[in-house]
Amino acid sequence: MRLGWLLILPFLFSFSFSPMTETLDVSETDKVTFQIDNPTQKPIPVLITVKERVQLLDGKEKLPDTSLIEAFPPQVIVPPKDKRSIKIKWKGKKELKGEKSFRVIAEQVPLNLDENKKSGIQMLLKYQAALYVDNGKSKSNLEIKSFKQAKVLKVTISNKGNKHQYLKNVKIFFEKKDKRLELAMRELKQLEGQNILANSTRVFEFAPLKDLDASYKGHLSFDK
Amino acid sequence: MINKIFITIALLIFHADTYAQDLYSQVFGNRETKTSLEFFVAKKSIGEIEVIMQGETLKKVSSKNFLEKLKILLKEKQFRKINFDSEYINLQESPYQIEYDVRSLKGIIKIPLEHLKVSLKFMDNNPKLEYAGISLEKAPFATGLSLRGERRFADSYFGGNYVSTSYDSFINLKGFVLEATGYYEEQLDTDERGYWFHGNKSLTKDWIDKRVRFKLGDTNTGRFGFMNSYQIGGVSVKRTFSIDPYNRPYPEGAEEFQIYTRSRVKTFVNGNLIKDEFLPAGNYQFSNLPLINGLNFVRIEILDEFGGSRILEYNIPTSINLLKGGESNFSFSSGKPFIDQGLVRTYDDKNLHSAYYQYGVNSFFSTGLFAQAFNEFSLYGLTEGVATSWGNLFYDFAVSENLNNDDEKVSGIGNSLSWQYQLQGTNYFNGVATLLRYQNLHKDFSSDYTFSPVPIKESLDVNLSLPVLKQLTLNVGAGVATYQDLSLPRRETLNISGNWRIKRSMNLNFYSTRIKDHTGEENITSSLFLTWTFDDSTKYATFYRDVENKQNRITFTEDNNNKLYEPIFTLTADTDDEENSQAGELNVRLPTPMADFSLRGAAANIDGETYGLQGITVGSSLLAAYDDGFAFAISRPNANSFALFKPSDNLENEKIVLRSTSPYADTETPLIGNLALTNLVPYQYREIEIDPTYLSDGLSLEKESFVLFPEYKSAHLIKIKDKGVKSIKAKIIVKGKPYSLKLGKLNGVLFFTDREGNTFIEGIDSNLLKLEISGFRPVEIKLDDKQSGIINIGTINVK
Repeated sequence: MRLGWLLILPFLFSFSFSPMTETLDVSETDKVTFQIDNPTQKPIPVLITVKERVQLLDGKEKLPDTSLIEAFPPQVIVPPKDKRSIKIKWKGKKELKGEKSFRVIAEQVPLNLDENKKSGIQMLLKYQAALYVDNGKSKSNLEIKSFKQAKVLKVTISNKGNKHQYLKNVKIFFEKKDKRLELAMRELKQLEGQNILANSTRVFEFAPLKDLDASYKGHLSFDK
Repeated sequence: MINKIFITIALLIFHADTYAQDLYSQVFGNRETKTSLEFFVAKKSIGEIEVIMQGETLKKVSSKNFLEKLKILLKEKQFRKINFDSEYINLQESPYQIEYDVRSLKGIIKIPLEHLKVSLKFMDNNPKLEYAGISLEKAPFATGLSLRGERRFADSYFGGNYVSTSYDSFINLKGFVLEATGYYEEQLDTDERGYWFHGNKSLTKDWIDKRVRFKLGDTNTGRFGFMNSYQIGGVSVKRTFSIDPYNRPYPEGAEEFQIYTRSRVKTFVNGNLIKDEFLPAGNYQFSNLPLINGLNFVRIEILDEFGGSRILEYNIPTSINLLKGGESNFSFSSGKPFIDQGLVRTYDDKNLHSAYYQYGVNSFFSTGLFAQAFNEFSLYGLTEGVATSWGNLFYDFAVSENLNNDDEKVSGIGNSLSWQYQLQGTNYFNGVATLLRYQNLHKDFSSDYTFSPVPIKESLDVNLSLPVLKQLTLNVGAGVATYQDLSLPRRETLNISGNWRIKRSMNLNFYSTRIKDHTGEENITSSLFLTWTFDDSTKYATFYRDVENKQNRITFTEDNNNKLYEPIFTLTADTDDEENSQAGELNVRLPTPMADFSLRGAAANIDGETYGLQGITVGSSLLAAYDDGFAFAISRPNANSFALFKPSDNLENEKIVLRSTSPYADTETPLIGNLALTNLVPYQYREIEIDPTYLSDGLSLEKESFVLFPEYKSAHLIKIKDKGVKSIKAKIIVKGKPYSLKLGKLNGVLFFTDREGNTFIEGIDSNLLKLEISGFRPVEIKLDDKQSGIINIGTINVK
């Protein structure tokens, strides 16, 4: 028997998920809301998961499961031309030492209706919004931890603070007594908009800087 | 379709080459076949036309069918030139080239795009199209009473001890709106009793499709040309453009432009990107462009599918005093004029009749007539307006009859000519605006039913707005007038004002004027106003200086961004050197879902004497509506349309938050009654969202967003429904394997599973669950009677 309501598929249509960045201040509330907007004429099934966000040296992320955050509802079929709210609730302790980062993932589900049909392209959307859980008191603290120059100049930037920090108008310079070497603007372009999570370290590569050696000390400045 | 099959078969049999054609002729002779063929103009289908085919050759088209299509497609001027005598016409007789595409079996008519009727651009910007059919209807019955009360404890300098109350009320029954306003005042330091003043009372009905407002009761007459507006108790019927704010009644130019292939089109108005869109080939004309008074610079960038680009530029004049072609504006009113004096409203014994009608002849020219009569006074005349690339020109003419200052019946003529030149471009000096107005009035002319004691003979006024620097704009105005009594000195006015944006957060406005009238006295006033915004724009300070009167005022405001329960602080300090006074005042306003509270404290030092003031003000409203059920609310003050939100039984004890224009809650569940969203602007669509953040776990709403279309003083009653009090969490295993990424039904509610077979189903009320999976028998599960919220029923094995 084939149920008639299965014919509402396929769900190959777009939806939007907002906001893409949200902060939950546990000193004020334990919940925030995201919204899925379906502007299409078809219903869209969306799966919502929340993962912890661990930043690697190259900026890539590991997303392990977490029990600290709960999404409600974790699955939703958004009716045509309608919106649905997703409630994100903090299940952890209210006393936080610093900011915790998560990804709220809204994924359009590729529902499989036909066992025999294994092939085909399904254009499905997946949003990964940033969620920061904070106590309202955390602060970032960026510094150049180390640098190493060979074929390329590798600079390690560390966020020793307990809050994430976006990079804007970054300047990296190296000083030794009265000498100062500065990375060119074109080299620094790659840093614009980069995010360094709390207690995380990133490594960036630049073209070698003439006369730079280990006796210099690295510094950085940026707009907050 | 059948026709296509026929043609396809015909083509399969008879190949598209001369050899086949010869064969066709040998077998069938030159036999012609009647059929229908789909035709295209500028790559767009125009439907089918009856044709006569001979093999694969299109021979003739039905003239009746063809004419019907051309009538829809062509401009009237082009269509009028076309006439066919016979039932079918040969292709050579067609005014436009007709081709037959053998491969796609379609006909193509090649019509120059300029000959086609225009497609109006920007109509798709109209929210009416976006929201038509999804916006909610207003409730058939609504009533609102807004109340404001103030108690002041004050010394004489601040007006003494005082109590006041005001009301603003309406009842809307199926679009007929009965409304009344008034207030009560009482000075507690005197023996005088308090008094009520009952203000405007009226019955209003809007005819939305016709944009016409009918008002019976206290209303006002229209202002047009030389004709003045008066407040009357009577009746008025007016065209009201605000009933349809999404369609602009003003000239938009008649410029057309052609797009020859599907193209990306960017439209800029006065330097601002208004729209970036893909448009199919066609002949286009502007509609609903956001033009502003004056000469607007419109730039169109067309990037076609082959990478070619064209740039078109237009200067489109418009004026809010003109109408676009075919548009009309009118006001007819009759009633007794009234004045409010000493808190008493007095109606005249005689009736005043007033009427005007204006018509937009075309995109550039509007004409209008007006007439007004009251007692011995009558005024009639005309107003003509033309929009040109050299500016907008207006001519007003009127004839009046009235009693002069010696009570003699006299008549006179008034003429006025205005030239308005206002550039709106982006380049330097394109912000220059000039207004020149010349008036010539006969000695016995009067545009008002009260004859001026010192009538004007001639006047000339000029106003120039000049962007001196990028951050500094200067306005200079000057005027000179002579009186009918030529022995009197001329009236001279001169004013200079400016706006200097010192920095992004700091703005300085200054104003200075000098007036010398028939008395010969010179009056100079000058002031400056500095605004400084800081932090996140919620805090700002202003400084005001009245130079002549030596008065200063500094105000500091901390706004709340329309956030409930967040106070707005205003701190003011005044000094007056001439009065030798210093005063300070603190005002704190706190908005809550049910009322706005305001506390005020002030102190003043006048010549060494100290005075004080404390005051409290409460503003609230009582609102009710009926729409297949009744709802009421006690809410913040409301002077306009409103919406009531009535939660279902399961949501009664839940905290519900409504959001609309602000990132913060517009309102939330009050202590008593339903939620109310107040002061909705009539005839403007409003999106409302219900924020479910604070709902109990497991509860969700059937619908979270709504689009309202408020009418004049109307209400919407929206029922907020929950999906059910239970949400079920489960993992489904079918024949030992996870039921992965598939659909099912639980108690009739559609659900889907994730990759591991997990599911989450909201909106369940019953304790008996029935799980349906395609190809399997339904599974029944019994829940504990007391269970609600999120219920994890574990793994369900379907066999």
